[in-house]
Amino acid sequence: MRRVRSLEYQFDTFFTAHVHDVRRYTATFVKDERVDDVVQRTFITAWERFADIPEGSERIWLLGVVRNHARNTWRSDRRADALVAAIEHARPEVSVELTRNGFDPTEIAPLMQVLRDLSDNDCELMVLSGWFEMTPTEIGELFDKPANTIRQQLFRARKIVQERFGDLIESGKLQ
Amino acid sequence: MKPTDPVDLFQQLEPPTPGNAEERDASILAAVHAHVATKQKPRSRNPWILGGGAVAIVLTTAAFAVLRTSSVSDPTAVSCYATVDLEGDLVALAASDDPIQACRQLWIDGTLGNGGVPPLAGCVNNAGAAAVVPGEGVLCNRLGLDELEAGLTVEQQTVVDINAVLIDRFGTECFDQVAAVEEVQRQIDNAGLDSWTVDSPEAFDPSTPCAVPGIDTENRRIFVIGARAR
Repeated sequence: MRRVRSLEYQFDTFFTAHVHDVRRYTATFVKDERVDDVVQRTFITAWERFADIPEGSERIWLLGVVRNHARNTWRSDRRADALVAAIEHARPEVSVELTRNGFDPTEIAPLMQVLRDLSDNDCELMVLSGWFEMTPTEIGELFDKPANTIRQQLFRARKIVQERFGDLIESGKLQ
Repeated sequence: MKPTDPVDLFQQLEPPTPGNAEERDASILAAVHAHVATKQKPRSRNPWILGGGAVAIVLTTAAFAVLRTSSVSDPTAVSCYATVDLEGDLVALAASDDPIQACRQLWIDGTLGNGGVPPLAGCVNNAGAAAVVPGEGVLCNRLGLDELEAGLTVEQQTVVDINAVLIDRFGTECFDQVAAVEEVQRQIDNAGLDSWTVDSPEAFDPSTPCAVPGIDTENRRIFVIGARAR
């Protein structure tokens, strides 16, 4: 027999299912001390519009709300700066992991330099594709753009990262 | 050494989830519950979404604005607006016994703009919570809101205090339904909120064994629902 759950119960389940992704995504937008504010505002909006959230696209819908809140409230935060700060903040733990995986920790510095110079849009494409494993179709849904456009932008963003990273390594301008 | 593909390296660089994330998530969920407890259930209409909550703005049809003041009925939420526009940017705070000072601090630390601290007007929105807007006092009435009375009543201050206690208690420990109701009742008794009740309307599901409380100031009720184990 199907039990009818209270709205609060449904929302609580929804929160638990998605808060991890919302927190991860928010952390790429704003500094750590602002993350909880954006997460809270995102879920308050989710409560207010709970009935309108499209089934099957809950994650994309929530990430869209995060983008709006993060952009609207803290326009002064540069996307790339927040991203690099988040990575560098976690760097001691990451470096161990990288070494174990065969990566050279000294390559992180030039990559950070490349990320700092990347446009906000390219940064976001790298995050959504690399960390959230979202397809161009899903990113397109989030950005309200055709998947083909996203595919081209993603290709271009990766190429920029690879070329600039290669230039830095070759020229020895490691930091 | 052969350079790594930077795109692969980037993928490996995703920061781990902070160690205290579960605790922070629990506090956020409790704050969301507290914030929405006095609001209407969501419907498939198009509300005034302001990030910190929905506010139905009453557009006065009176030819003369009558200055009204009132006290908050929901002391657990404060909205600090960046502009006079109620649809504009805001930062939502969980609770404060001095909403104007709490919002002023956001101006001082640069969270709300970089141009110094403007005069701030304290209003009460239609959800009964404090809304602090940059501007002078009569501004609230122009926006269709009551002016905020200074200070909190003893009961309001007690609600702010019990809200903080509950966030702390339930954010760090998993209470089952029976224990949660007892704990909330104990906190109500300790706080001397004699007319308040505790309610847990639905049996906890095995997948959501840990209680999360929410404060319903309008009905003087603290409800408890189940959440996933943290």
